[in-house]
Amino acid sequence: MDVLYVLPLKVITTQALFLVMAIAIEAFIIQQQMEFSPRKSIEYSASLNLLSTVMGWLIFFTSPFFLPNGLKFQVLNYVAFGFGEATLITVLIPIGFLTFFGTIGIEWLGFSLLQRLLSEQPLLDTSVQTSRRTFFQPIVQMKQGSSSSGISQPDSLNAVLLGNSVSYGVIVIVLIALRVASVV
Amino acid sequence: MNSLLTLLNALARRLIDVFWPKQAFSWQTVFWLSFFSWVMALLSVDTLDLEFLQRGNEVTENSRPTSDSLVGATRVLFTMAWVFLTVAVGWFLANQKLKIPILAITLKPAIWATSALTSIFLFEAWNSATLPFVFMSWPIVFALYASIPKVFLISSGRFAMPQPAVRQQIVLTTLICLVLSCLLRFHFTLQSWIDEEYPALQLIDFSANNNLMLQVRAPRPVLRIADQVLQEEVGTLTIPEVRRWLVRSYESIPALNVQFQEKLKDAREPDVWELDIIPEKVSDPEFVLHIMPTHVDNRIGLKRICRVVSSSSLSAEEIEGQAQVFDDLPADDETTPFSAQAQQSDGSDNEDETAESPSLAAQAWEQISDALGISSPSGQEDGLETNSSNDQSDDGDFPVPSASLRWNGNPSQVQCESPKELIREGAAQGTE
Repeated sequence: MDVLYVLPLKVITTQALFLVMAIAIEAFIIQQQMEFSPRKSIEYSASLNLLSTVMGWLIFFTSPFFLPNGLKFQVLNYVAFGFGEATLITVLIPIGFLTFFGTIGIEWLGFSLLQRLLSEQPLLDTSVQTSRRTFFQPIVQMKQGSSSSGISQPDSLNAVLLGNSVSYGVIVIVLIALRVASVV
Repeated sequence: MNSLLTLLNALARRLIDVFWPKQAFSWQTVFWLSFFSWVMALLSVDTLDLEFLQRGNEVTENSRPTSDSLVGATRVLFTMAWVFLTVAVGWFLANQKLKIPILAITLKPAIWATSALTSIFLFEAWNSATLPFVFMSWPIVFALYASIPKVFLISSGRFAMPQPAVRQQIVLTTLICLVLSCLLRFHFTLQSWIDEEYPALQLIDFSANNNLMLQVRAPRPVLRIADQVLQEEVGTLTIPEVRRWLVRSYESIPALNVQFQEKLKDAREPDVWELDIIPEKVSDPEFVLHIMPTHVDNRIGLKRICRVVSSSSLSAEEIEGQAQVFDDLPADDETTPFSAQAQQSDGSDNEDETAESPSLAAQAWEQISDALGISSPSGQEDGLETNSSNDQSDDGDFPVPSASLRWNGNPSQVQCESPKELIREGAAQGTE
């Protein structure tokens, strides 16, 4: 029996394309919202998007344990042969929504982590208590509307939300365009 | 000859030049330490292990040639050899930089090489069971090696928190490496799904057409076995029962598939096929037999139209349109228990003593046919003291007691017509 060897090149190239697009769009929005330097906003956007990609892959790799078996086959079928089941789209839409909100959550969390990690003041000086407080600070600050204290800025959630909405929208448009192009 | 000798001499001189340590604290020293460890490790291997190493080509997943079979000092020496080799290679490449012109990226081959060697050693690249882990761990080890010198200052020998810009660099490198690792893992996951869970995908023939056209061929023995299974299922039924069976065929398909795959195993065929029945007509029983690779997209595979016709004249009369009795059938079928059942089940008013016989006969038929392997019909007919309803096909593969399958196009025999392969266009249908 011949060995069928599947190299998911299509997935890799698609992933790279969408990552570059999302990083560019989100960097622009972070720069606008947070008033970062262009370089810093690109770095932030790249880190956040890569982080959410890694998280997404980790969830995907653990998904066979709690997802129905049929989905696994559909993924395989799609990746290996480019067949899409008609039912796949009904699964993809809720997954897409979950991905969207999951990404926002992860990126928001990542944003505050990154700000703490990259801040000028020494990391190890902050005691457990203060670190805990800063962890929840964005929510409190959002309610109070003050950005006087703390490392996190109140509009980080705003920036992440806006950036993700725009980048997801563009990605969906590109996906639809690709689909239309493949039909025609 | 002379020139060859001088060439060899020059080569040897050059090798010695490269590998001979100029000073004690150099990569060549570490390299020779590694070499020494290798030689010592090989010397300390037991004879039994040497035999094992000689069978090197037969390395399978179960036999792990080195680390499991090596014990104690050998293992330590072996590990030291790898560690020294890694250090030597890293040291040798330490100051080299690879510049990619367009992207303006500078790669440090030392980190790539040492991380590759580390993961090769850690996950035993020579062991096919853990080979995927070598590739998956490579980027992660790379990220580790790339960030260690930035956090641990070798010159002063202490840990120090790097500048924010360097921290950012570490974060990005680590994340990119993690994504690479995930993509590699995705590849291996897909591959393991194909190898372990969907072996039928291997049957897809990519070479025949371009990539968009897929073709799956069920080999002829598989088709014959599918026929047998269906004959067994339908053969004991009368036409009305066949109709009932057809309407609820979805209920019997799992059991049919179990039988089918058992028979495939018996026949030493790869049991990666499954069958499906799609009812077409009920009154004049007709269905599509779909033989497809297990779990694969159910639009590929092989489909054949299959009609069920009565093999007894009596039941054939009852179905008006089906008067074409097979030529080779005996005329008097009324005496057989099978046709008696046909009479009984159709004329529902006369419930006489013959009601018991069909099921008995059916049971006997199943037992005997199982025992005989469905190949010699005459013996079992004698055992039942009936002498008819024996439709033997040209292939000699199956007798049909009461109802018989008829493949489209050849009414007189139970026969497989040449299979029509369904060729489907992947992209066109996939995007519907």
